[in-house]
Amino acid sequence: MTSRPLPAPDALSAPFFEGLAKGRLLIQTCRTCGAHQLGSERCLRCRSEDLDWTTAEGRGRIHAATIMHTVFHPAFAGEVPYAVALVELDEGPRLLGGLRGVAADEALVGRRVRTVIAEIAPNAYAPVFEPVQED
Amino acid sequence: MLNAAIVGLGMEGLTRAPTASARTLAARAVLAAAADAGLQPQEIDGLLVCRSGGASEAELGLNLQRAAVLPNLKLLQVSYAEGASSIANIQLAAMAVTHGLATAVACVFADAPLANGASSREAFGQRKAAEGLDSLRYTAGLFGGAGIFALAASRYIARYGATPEQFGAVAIAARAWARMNPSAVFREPLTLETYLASRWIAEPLRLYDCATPVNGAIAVIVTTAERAADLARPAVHILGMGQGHPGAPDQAGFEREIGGGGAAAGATAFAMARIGVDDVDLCQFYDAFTYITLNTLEAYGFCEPGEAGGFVADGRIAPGGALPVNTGGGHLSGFYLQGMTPVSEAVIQLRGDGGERQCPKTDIALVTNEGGRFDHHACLVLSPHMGRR
Ligand SMILES: [Zn+2]
Repeated sequence: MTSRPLPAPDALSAPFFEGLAKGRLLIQTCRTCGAHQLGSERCLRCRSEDLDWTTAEGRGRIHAATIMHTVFHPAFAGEVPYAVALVELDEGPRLLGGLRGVAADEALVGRRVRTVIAEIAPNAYAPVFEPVQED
Repeated sequence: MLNAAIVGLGMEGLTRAPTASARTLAARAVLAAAADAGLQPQEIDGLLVCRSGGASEAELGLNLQRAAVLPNLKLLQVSYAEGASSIANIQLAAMAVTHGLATAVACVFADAPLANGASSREAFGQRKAAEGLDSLRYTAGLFGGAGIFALAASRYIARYGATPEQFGAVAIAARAWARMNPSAVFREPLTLETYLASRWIAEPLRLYDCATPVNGAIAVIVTTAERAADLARPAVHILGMGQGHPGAPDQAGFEREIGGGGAAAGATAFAMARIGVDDVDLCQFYDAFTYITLNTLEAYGFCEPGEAGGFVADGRIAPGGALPVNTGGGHLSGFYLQGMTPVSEAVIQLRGDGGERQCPKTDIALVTNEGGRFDHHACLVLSPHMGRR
């Protein structure tokens, strides 16, 4: 069996993945204007390069979701069908991850979720989401 | 003002069977397009190449010049704007011939993802490398364009309440057109019942919501309107063109799954062509997934945001409908050669070569290309008639 695809940190995302390994969900926070984001070297709001990494709470809402029914990769052969969600964290950034604990026929977009940091392979971590009650 | 027309069309492969390499197919298509125009290969003085995102420069790149044996190039470039590359190249060619940088420019796309007998999902599942936060796609199991556009479609459905029957209407219209196109891969009848019963690829996308990958190449030749008048085949004039690249981040306040660059591209192109949306007689869209057709109809103002499902539901874009869309079957039932699939069908229709599927009115065609996650968009407004100059 082929092993799962692993995270491929680059310079911009290395702190994010290092954070996951320590059990923390880190996002970028602009030291100039306070905006939160992910995946940009520059503040999306004020274009400052002075960005810090801060811990996000991990709560958010499903922005978009799919149930994957096709085996595109042999490592997922035993997992189909499985859900994947693009989640809008309460702080603002959207994050992609697996989605656990949802029923086959329920509406996913708009659901409240929390982020769980999963060890998807030895020493490799990725965010997954689980539904929670509305606040 | 633009002074440019498409005068040659070359199509090679268009098959799910193994073929020669993408480069060999591209060279054949360029030479076929030149012959179609009535030009000698040595008269081609511009070559603009684009390739699939997963293919390499070694597979198809500047080396195409030597593969096609084109000794007299004054313009040579490989362009990359994801799925928008083909039209982006034709736009560059139109400006080049208008201003005299070159006089006869070949624009080509080729791909051979199925060359080793690979299935569609093997070919496209993880073809593009993903680094950084983008690598979370693959760790989460979101593979292929299907995964990406399933996410986008889920957002659209949640926002506007589009139904499976409306998505099905897009697939069924494409198939009805493909049935009349000898070059289309899938030509058996497709009913709503069959559509709804087809297997999920990535929910909410079913099998028939997804493109038909092939091995193949398509090339066109662009020259000036004056020179076009002396060539072998009827000219297809480029009246307008535009691009849109919203650069939306994955961030609250942005709608990357629903918006896109079509509205901006359309505003530029329609103003250049001095037309309005009501002047468009037929459309050739980049329909790698049914949802992109719905998105594009809304982006160009054929209907209001959220109303495309209703717009297509009564056969309006199907044969006999008021607005013919993807009249060769598009990517869905025809063949997926990215941005060149819609371009080739527009040329066929505007020349009057559509045979059984020929549209009755072809004064103005809108042709669109879509790239990334609605990140890159390009369009052309084409006509068999010269624009007002
Ligand atoms: Zn800032």
